[in-house]
Amino acid sequence: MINLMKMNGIRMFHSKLFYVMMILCFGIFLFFASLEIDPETQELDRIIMEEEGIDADEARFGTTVGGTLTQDTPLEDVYAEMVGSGVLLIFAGVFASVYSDEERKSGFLKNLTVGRSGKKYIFASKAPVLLLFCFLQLMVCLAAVWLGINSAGEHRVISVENLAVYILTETLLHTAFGIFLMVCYEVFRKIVVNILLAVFTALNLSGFVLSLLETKISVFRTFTEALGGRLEMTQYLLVTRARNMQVNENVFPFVPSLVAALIGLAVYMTLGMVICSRRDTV
Amino acid sequence: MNKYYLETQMLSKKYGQTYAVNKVNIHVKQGDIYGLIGPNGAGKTTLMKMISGFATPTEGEVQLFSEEDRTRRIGVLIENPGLYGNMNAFENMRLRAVAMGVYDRKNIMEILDFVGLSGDLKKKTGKYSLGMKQRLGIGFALIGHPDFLILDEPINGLDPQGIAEVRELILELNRKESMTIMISSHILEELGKVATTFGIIEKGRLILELSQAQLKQQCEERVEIVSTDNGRVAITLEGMGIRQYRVISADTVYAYGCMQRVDEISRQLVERGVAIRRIGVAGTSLEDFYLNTLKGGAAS
Repeated sequence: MINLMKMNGIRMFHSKLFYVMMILCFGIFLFFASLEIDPETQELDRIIMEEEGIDADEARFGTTVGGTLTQDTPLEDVYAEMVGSGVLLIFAGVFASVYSDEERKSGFLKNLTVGRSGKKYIFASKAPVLLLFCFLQLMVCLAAVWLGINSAGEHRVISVENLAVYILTETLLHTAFGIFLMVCYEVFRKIVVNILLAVFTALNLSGFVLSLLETKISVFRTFTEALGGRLEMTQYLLVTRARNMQVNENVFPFVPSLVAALIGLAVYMTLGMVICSRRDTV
Repeated sequence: MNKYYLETQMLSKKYGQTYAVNKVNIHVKQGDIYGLIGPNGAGKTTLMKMISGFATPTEGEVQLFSEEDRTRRIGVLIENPGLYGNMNAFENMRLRAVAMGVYDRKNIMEILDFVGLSGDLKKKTGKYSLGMKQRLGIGFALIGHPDFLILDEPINGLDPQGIAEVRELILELNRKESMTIMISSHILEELGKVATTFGIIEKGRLILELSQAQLKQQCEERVEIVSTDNGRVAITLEGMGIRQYRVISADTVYAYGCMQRVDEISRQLVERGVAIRRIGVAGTSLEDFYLNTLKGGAAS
């Protein structure tokens, strides 16, 4: 397992995909961070939203990187706002899908004579690489946001500790989401399907469908009412947690997100390992 | 102790309702070059995948090392090597070596030298010719000094020079490194040049397993005598000092090592009053033998 992890680590740093995605992340976040604090852009955003009667919170639906940030907004809030756009979730999902697809299409698995019991480790050994990718992606974006918003005046970090916990939790949520897509790849083995699924779920369209079901279908309503009446399943989706988390813990507590991430990791890892161990490698 | 290095028992693989491999029992001795031959779609690759541990048998079992030892002791090339085209040969081999926990730069360089690719270190494998890829595939299989090599169609798509190079490579590994090798092909002529034991597979069934000596005997040139009296034919041959002969059927005798004496045998038989229906030199080519065996297998 450790050897397979090392192999995957070497492979990731040799992969063009890794560098392309990092550069893309950096570029996109730098661009939007510069726009975020541009007074003219902010004023324009405000007018458009007023004219269209859009609530500031509603504007965050989808990948729109925008909002009601001012020049006094701390760096971590701008960062959380931008991470909440879902762009990084899409990137994590696309990376997980393409990384798995490259491995299968190249036929490299034929070189790994791991035996029947070792097949599950081929899947499991990709998780640490994905974790590292998600962490580096979040760090690269932090650097981009810092560069972008500080170009128009200094934005300070209010709580380094909160920011660190936020990044850790987001890393785990993004990794769990990536592993979910790796599982989907093992099931469908079609890269196009997987990428569409990555975009669809990262935009929280699946959450939207689920919330509709929760409110419209009586079975779901009865189920959630039976669980105390206050439970909204959509609130516990990885994507919902990843997109709504804030650095300020009072606004959006870390612990439920951390729990959702850990449960997601455990469930999807187990599922992926079971699927891989039951299937023929090639 | 098991006298065979690799043994399968009633090994089967079923896809849907179709058996790709059906109750196969193969026997490979240490030091053998086992040639698995069969037409396309006969089940060779599926059988090798099960032996390598890539595919799970539907029924039966494979006796070959322990599960833990397989990673290190088996070297595998199934059809064509799995390579990352954006990496060069060394980088690709390093990945496999790291995954096996046996990374040693010097060893990889030695293998690349052995398979004749040390001069192309900077070239990405995506730009390799088929021959280079096959040689690299064999190189892959050699990482970690395996004891048992499984090579599935290693000469597929190679030009005559490439085929000769791979053949020499296989013989060298068997002789110098004492590796036991299992090699599959649908070209019997090529396998005939390297294999010491043959297994003929068709429609998922192993229809014949025989040694090189047995195969040679089957295909050897001989004098075929078809007559009404096998007993007198035998006495005549003995009288002429010909001891190597076999009674094949009620009216047929094969005599070996006496192809130059056909006229003499014929004369002697006539003198002894044997009614000869047919006499002449015959021999089966490897190809004819293979095709006849397949026909027999299909018929049975």
